[in-house]
Amino acid sequence: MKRFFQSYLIPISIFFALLLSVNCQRDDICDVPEITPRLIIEFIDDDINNRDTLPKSVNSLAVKLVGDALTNSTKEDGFFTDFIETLGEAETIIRIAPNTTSISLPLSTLDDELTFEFIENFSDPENELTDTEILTFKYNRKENFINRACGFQTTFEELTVEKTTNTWISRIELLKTTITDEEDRHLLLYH
Amino acid sequence: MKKIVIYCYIISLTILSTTINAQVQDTIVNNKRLNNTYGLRVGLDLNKLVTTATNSNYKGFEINGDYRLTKKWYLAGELGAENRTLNEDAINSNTKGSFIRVGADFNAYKNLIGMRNLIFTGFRYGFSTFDQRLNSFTIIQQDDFFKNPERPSSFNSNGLTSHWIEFVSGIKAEVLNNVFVGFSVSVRRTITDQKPNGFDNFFIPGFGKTNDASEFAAGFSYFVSYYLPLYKKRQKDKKVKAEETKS
Repeated sequence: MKRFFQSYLIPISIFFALLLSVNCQRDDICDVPEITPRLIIEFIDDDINNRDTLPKSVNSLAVKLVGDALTNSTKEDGFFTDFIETLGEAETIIRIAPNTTSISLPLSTLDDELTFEFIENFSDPENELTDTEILTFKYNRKENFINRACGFQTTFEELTVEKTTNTWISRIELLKTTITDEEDRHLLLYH
Repeated sequence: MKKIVIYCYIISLTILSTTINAQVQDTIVNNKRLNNTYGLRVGLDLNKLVTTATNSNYKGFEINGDYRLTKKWYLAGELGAENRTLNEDAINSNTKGSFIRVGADFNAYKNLIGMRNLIFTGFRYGFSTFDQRLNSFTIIQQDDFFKNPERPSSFNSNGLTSHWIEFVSGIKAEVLNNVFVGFSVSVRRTITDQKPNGFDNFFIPGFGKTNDASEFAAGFSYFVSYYLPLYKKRQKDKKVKAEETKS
């Protein structure tokens, strides 16, 4: 019995050590803050008398994509379908907010130019107060490695914003042309 | 994972059964009575062979060997080449290269008369040179609005090197005349790691899968080896020595 343990205790211990060592493989989970940033837009009160830049909320804002940027055309039923009558195809609605001072707008990681319709008071039943402003964003994309679990992120450089119409937004102020995170505001829209 | 555990059980049972068997064979006893034959043992890793045959994302081989220096110390090493494709959620990459590990093993097992088995612990210094290629990747996005397909990539780095140190432990048991089977488990730690341009090393040949969280990796090998005896060290009988000093 003693001979048995002396001979085989070591091999058995090695065997279990082997099992333990092979088991210790951590699965990588993606848990980082550096994901592809969205454009942080804030709406500011454009009052000549007011020196401070105070946020002013927009009544029933809707943002729609215009043009042929590549989107995932499968939109779940029931989310935006309520607005189809007033706004048109639900697939192009990217943001809806009843009363907000700031939105985060995702940018495309495939296209370099996006045109959006910023619609104020879209839910107005008589459509009298509804106003549409068209903004075009142009940028360069840069792909950065994060880690094995997350993959890559896209950051945006040389961002430019153009306003081709002149309705409810009086002026635009681009605070940052290089978008790498969502820490601060990137764009101010005065109205 | 399950495959490795099943192989562990099979090899363990084989070794246990063959060591019992070896104690009964008296004919080979005289040759190895003093266990003083010195030679070279060369082996082939079966784990890598089986993985090459069963896993389409892997091709590799490893040859191991040891050379007896003293009664309990052996000069040991392994060399081989591996080609591994990693297909993970966010990354699809390929690594191919070769490796070599050099070190020494210490046989901690006190053999019964007539046996030449080893239960060893040892260390290795490992070195690998390899090419790392990123085939495709995904970009992580918060919103689902815009299309975000997997992107093809041309990130490519050749001639990268890596150094590591490892602690290894295992068994080599003689099952037939001069034929050994065995397995070993090793714990490895990176010393230096040359990273490719734009991304990271996901796998290093001879070392294993790398991990963002730690510098360590574990290794496992089971093998068959053949022993080539080269010379015998003359061991003076203790009784004869005592008589000589007396006179």
